[in-house]
Amino acid sequence: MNFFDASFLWKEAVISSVLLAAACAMAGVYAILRRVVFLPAALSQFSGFGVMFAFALTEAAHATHGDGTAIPLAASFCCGIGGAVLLGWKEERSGSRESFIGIVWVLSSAFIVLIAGAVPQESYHVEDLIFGNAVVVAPSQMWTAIFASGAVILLHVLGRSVFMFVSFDEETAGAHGLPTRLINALLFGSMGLIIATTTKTIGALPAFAFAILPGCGALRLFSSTGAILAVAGVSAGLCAFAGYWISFARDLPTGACAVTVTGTMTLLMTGIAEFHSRCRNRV
Amino acid sequence: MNSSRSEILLTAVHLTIGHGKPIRRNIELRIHRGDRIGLMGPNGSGKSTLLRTLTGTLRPLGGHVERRPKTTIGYVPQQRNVDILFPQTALETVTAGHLGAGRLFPGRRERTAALAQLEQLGLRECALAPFRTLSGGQRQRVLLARALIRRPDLLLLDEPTTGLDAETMVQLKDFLPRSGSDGSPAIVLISHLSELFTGLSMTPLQIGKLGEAVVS
Repeated sequence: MNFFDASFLWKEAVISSVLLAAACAMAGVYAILRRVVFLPAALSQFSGFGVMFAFALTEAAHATHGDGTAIPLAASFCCGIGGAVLLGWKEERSGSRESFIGIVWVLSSAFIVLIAGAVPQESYHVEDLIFGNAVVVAPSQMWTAIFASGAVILLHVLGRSVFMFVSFDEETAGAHGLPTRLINALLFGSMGLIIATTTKTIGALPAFAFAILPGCGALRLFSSTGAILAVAGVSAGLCAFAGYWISFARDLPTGACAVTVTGTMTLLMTGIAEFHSRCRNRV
Repeated sequence: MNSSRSEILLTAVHLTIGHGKPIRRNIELRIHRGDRIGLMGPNGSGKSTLLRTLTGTLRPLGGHVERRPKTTIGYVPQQRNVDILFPQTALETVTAGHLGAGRLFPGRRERTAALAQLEQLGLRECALAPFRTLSGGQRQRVLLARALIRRPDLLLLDEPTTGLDAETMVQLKDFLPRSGSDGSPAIVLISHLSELFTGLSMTPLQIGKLGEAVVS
């Protein structure tokens, strides 16, 4: 069956992936610039911990409602967004953010393993909730993805100047009257929202790849913030689409395909930047 | 400082400054419109900490700072406090000077004003150059342009001459607002070079005269 003829199979998944990838890449540019590249990985893990913890808690309290996923999902978003907001609000003191990210990542990973034994849900069901499933995306998940990515893209388009000013020179931004802690909390919170949504929808690996790789490539190619955000967002969206296409055509794992395509695109952008730089130096 | 001028922009009362631990206590300072103060003192004496406390980015450990309502501050940080690897053009950097409380979205008008400000400081041709590729002197002028574009009532400069050669230092003098002109801002400038203050017609002031040092 032709890829486009089978759109009924992938429509929700591709729409969600393209939008989430674009939003992840735009927010991820700041993760690179502020030297917190492992933040998306730590947030994915922390929101997974939220799912596990909520499962264990509802099980212990015998408080399961419906299919039992509403509370774990809410806990996952609370952990992802809350952890990121807290990190942004916290004043940066010589690498304290990096340490915090390391601690959150390693402890969340350990707790997920520890709590897993106490959760009697079918393992694939819990795994899907923690790490998403790039192949099957329900319409409700697609709408969540559309709203979350729309909000994050809008925020980063409108707030680009403020986010850049606070990230580039926080001291002067504060002296000029900007509420820097609040802006940092909003910036990191937007990363938390999009990483938690992406992880739940298409998986932790694509979430990390979309957040970091397109930004790395765009930063090598351009020197203006507007161009970097636009190129990172558009290239991530295209890579997400191409990843699905290749995965369908070659019957390969979808998440890994999207990550490989994104990585290839990043290498290509880096190569072009290097070539351009050498040509300019020669002239 | 200059009591002949009536409009007080900022007053520091019994101020204790420091990062957690006090560096200096009982600082008393009054800055009037048009004042030109050159702040001196040895390393670690609290000059930059005082400036940050006056701008409100650092909370005082004691006492308080009173600012005249709607006082606009223009701030030029030490270059080492700016992340030069950030992908910003000179124009984007200067345009950011418009941002402040209640002003979050710079538009075309602000970019045009930023371009004009860059031109005034002799940097028109560098407008689209990445900030990181500029020379030390050009970066300093861009940071000064970002502060000046706000039309500040109070201009605070933290070691603006660090790493600059003699010629660039002389140029910097030409770019600072002239004293005595109508609505000229008050300027507080930190530097180790006392001769710079003479050139800029500034009143040199030892930080030691503003308050007691805390001996740890």
